[in-house]
This record gives sequence, structure tokens and C-alpha cells, in this order.
Amino acid sequence: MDSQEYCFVDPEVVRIQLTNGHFIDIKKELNAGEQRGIFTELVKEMKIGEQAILEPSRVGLTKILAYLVGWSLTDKNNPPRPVPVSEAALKNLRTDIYSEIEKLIDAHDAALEAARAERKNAPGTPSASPAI
Amino acid sequence: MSASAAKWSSHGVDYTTDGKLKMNLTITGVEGQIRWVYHSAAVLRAWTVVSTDATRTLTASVVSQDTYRVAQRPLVFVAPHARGEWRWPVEELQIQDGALTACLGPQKA
Repeated sequence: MDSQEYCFVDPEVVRIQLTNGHFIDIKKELNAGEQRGIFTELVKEMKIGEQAILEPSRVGLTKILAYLVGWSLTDKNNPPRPVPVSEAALKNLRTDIYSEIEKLIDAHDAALEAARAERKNAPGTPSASPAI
Repeated sequence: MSASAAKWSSHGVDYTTDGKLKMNLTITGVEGQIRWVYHSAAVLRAWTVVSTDATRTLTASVVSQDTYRVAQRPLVFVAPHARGEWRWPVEELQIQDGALTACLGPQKA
């Protein structure tokens, strides 16, 4: 491993267009705390040695909240005012808009995961179990 | 962060030698944040920005801080107001005994 490898996540934003002309701003990469938060904020109850009980209403939502940092969505005032990103605002979206955001974030997350796996499997990268 | 109303007051209105308006401005607010890109680095209360032609100084009480993020750059001071938020880049920052003092750059849009 390169001893100079940088090991922290610097916050960077990626802008993604929605089909209705609006956009969302999402984190390019989650840090360890944010990644763990997707799961921990989903768990209703967890006991040692038992399967965690999840909160069904938060499935999917915690990942969106972990990634989403901004959007161009506005209210219906004249002139329209920006609506800040919040869990409450997300829950009040039209279902089709929510689904589109969820799919875009899932695709971004899957692409990141694939890139991480590729990096891990790259030649010269030490593995946890070296070949004998 | 709710949009608690910030207040401003001017004092010491004066003119420079070439006739330009020279104004010292003090803005106060209840809630504010120091941000590192999209992360909250510190949550502030009871903040004051004293602005002169050349300098802008922020003082505030620190409610909470993330020591890693506060050490990162660039940092921005974000203050909510009734129609949005004000943003100033942080040029220098010190936190001691729960009190923050910072030098701010020119206000961002």
C-alpha cells in the first residue's frame, strides 16, 4: 500500500439532473460515520447474537438522507422559495419524485461500491488472506 | 437550522477622505453554523459580526463542534435570516472555553 495514501473523505458534491428539470446535489462519497449511520438509523432494536429489528418506515430513507445535501425544489409561493432538504420535506414529495431520487442515489451508491471493489481487487493491492 | 431572525444595526456612519460612505455595521443573530462544505463543523449561538470597511469579526458561543471538521479548510460561517442565509468565508478561527472568534472574508452570495 502506498504509505502516502490519503485515508479521509473530503466532502465533494455531485449534481444530478431530475427528469422534471430540477436537480439534486448529493455527496460524492460517504465517510465511515455516514455509511454506518445508514444502518444504525434504520435499526429499531438490536440484541447481541440476534438479528437486528429494522424500522420499516425508514428503509431507503436513511440512505437518501445520508447522501442528499441539496436540491432545486421550491414551494408554491410567488416568487417560489427554496425548500431546504429535510426528512419532513422528503416525506412530503410526490411518490414519483421520491422514487426517482431514490433510484438515482441507489445507482450512485452501487457505482461507488463497484469502484471500491475494483480498487480492492486491483493488482498489487494486499488482501487480508495472502495466497500461499 | 431554523431561520431565526438576525438583526443588524449600523453605527459610526462616516465618510472617507475621498467622499465614500464608510460604515461600521453590527449584525447579531441567535443561531449560526461553521460549515466545511456540507458538514456542520460547529453550531453557534448568540453570534455577532462586526464589519468595518476592512475587517469582519465574528464572535459567538459554541454549542457543539466537531474537532476534525473545525480543523479543515475552507470553512464558511452560515447565518440564517428570514429569506435565506448569509454566508461569509472564514479566514481565521479560534475556539477557546466555548467562545469562538473568527476573521471573516467578504460576504458570499
